[in-house]
Amino acid sequence: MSITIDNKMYLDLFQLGKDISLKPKVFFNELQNNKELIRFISTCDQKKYEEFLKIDPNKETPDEYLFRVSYLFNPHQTLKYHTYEFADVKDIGRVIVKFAPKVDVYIKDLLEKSLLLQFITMKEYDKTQPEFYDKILELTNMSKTHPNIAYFRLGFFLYGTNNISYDGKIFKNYKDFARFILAGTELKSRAAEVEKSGYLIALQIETSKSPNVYKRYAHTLKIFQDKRKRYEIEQKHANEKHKVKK
Amino acid sequence: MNSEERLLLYISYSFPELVNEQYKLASALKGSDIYFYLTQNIKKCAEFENARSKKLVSYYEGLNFNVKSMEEYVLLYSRIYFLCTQTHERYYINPLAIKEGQCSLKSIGEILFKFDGALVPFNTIIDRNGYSLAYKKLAVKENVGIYKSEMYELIDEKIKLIKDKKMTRRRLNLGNMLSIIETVFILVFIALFIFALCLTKLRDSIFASPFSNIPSIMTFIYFIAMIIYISLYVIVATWHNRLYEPVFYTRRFMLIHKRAIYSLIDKKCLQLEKYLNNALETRKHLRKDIYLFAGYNESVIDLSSLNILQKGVDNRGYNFFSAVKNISFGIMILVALAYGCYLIFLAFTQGSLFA
Amino acid sequence: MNVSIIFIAALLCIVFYGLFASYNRLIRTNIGFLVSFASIIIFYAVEILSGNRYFTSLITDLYVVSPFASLESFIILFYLAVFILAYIVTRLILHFCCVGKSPSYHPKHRKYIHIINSLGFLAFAFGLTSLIVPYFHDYFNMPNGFMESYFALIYGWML
Repeated sequence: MSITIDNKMYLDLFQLGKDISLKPKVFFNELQNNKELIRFISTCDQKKYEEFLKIDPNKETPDEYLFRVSYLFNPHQTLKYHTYEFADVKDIGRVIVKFAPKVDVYIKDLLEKSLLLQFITMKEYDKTQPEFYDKILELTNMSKTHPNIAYFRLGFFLYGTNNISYDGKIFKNYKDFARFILAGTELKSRAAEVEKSGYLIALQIETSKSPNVYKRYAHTLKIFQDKRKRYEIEQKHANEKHKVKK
Repeated sequence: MNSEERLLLYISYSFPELVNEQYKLASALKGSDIYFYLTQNIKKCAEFENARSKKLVSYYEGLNFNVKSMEEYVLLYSRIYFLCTQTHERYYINPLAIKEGQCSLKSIGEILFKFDGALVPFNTIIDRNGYSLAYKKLAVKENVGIYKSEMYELIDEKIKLIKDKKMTRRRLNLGNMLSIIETVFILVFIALFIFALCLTKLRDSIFASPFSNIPSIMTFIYFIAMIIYISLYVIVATWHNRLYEPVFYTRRFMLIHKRAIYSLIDKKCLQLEKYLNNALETRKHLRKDIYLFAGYNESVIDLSSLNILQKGVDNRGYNFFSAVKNISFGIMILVALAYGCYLIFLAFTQGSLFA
Repeated sequence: MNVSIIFIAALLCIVFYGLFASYNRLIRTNIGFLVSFASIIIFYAVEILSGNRYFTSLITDLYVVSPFASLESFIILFYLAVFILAYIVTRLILHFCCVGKSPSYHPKHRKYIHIINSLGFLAFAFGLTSLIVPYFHDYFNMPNGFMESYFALIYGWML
């Protein structure tokens, strides 16, 4: 039994699973509309077919859907997601750091949608490398509230915090980068960008290995913003009263 | 605060030695709109004799612009925002402690009340549904209790101030010494004049006509200087009493009639509570009643007059005259000495002063 | 130098008190002045109406070696004593009864009363100076100066 999709012949589900994430557009379409393919899946492995039917394509984004399907068919393949293929999980870090401060949306999704966590669970990292697993779990949780910071933290965790690159320039470590940002006109031109990307915060957390500084920073900032918000409300009230008087 | 400052703040946590912008930023804060606005508010706030406004003013005076880190700078900035909010009249006004025409609010309904863990204008409390009347009344009682305790605090503080100052007033200090010395010297000056005019043998030459001979010239100059000095003394002494009179009055009142003030406050608090409860029951908004419960007003006792005890007299005319008087006192002593020496000189040259 | 000049100068010093003193102080002083003037008038009235001028003759006939053993000096001392007494009494009364209006309370009608008060004080001050200063003429044999006729009028009334 075999099936041909996009000029390639597949003999079993393992082969099919390998390619699903690499050709997302094609397979998303086929999996939904090609009845021959569905029949092929059901004849190959009845159990996996039942599992496959449980995954609802409307509930998730296409990439997420395809990721789940591909690992259902072939749980032993390397990390693949939306045309990306990583020989090792650590390669993700290299990609993240290399293109900083640009954020790769697909890799961000990988983290944010718990797909990376799912992958390492499948690879039984929680038994072989529990620390690594815990870290990914923590970052996944963090990505729900601070996606950018979690994204870069993942990058620095996997790649390391030395010889990092930012906008094509290479920096030895966090201090080196801080010096660069503080020097001359860089601060003015790059402040908004650095802040928005969360690059600096992620770098700091990963360098010191503890989020204490970030917590303190967030707390201080919260105090300030609370006071300002309260003041703005009061000011608005005062202005309205003034208008009424006039 | 912009993203640069946030970034500086974040980096300063890890490398405080790299970030030195806080001094510049903090001093720039003094020129900012928000700080200007705050100073305006505080000026208004300082006019009120009110425990809360006093706290705000002291908080404002305690603002430290000499920040050592970015974090301190951000906290300073937020403190300014906080003060700016709190120095709006509806936050600190105590309806029991205001003077007629002092406040820009129109009604007690605009003042913020503590209600259900938040600050809410009283008129809004009246409108709020979902709370029982008893609960609202409890909130009213609590807030009136706060006003009452603030008033007590204020009165106690003033009485303490009076008692402290009274002790120092009885001690002999430079000001007291000077006034005693001056009184004695005025009598001496007049005595010297009368002595020279009436009891010596110079009398006939002095009476002849002013400036016709040397004794007449000397006596006349001495007389004019004396009159100028005494006039200044009278002006300054009476003006001083006029400025301090409310203080003396308030001081006496507070020491003798302390209990009357407390019972007055209690009475006003009860009336206020009744009035607010009535508004809750009838669900009518309060309007134009801000001065209805001024617990003490100027006609009975003026607590703000006691500020003079702490800060001294702030009256240009008075200070000018008192300085001129002190100078003329010195000159007058010299003139009296010169005149006395002249009389002694005459006594030696003519054998005796008495006819 | 003569009595008129001293009169003007003394009046000048006292006038400043009337201009700068506060409301309450002026009231106290005026009450003192009023009481002492009234008591002098009563004294004279009793003397004249009773017809025998007992006190006056007693004082003028007294043989005491003292500069004040004359009617004028008696009048001045009497006046000052009553004035000081009335002033102290009003002061004491006001000291213990502080229920009333605070001195820093200045409604408009009080301003007018203050002006009237000041003018009253000036009149009293003029009277007091007229009483005391001409005494210099009598006792020290000083020339009267340009206000001679005025002083003569006062003395004519007193004696």
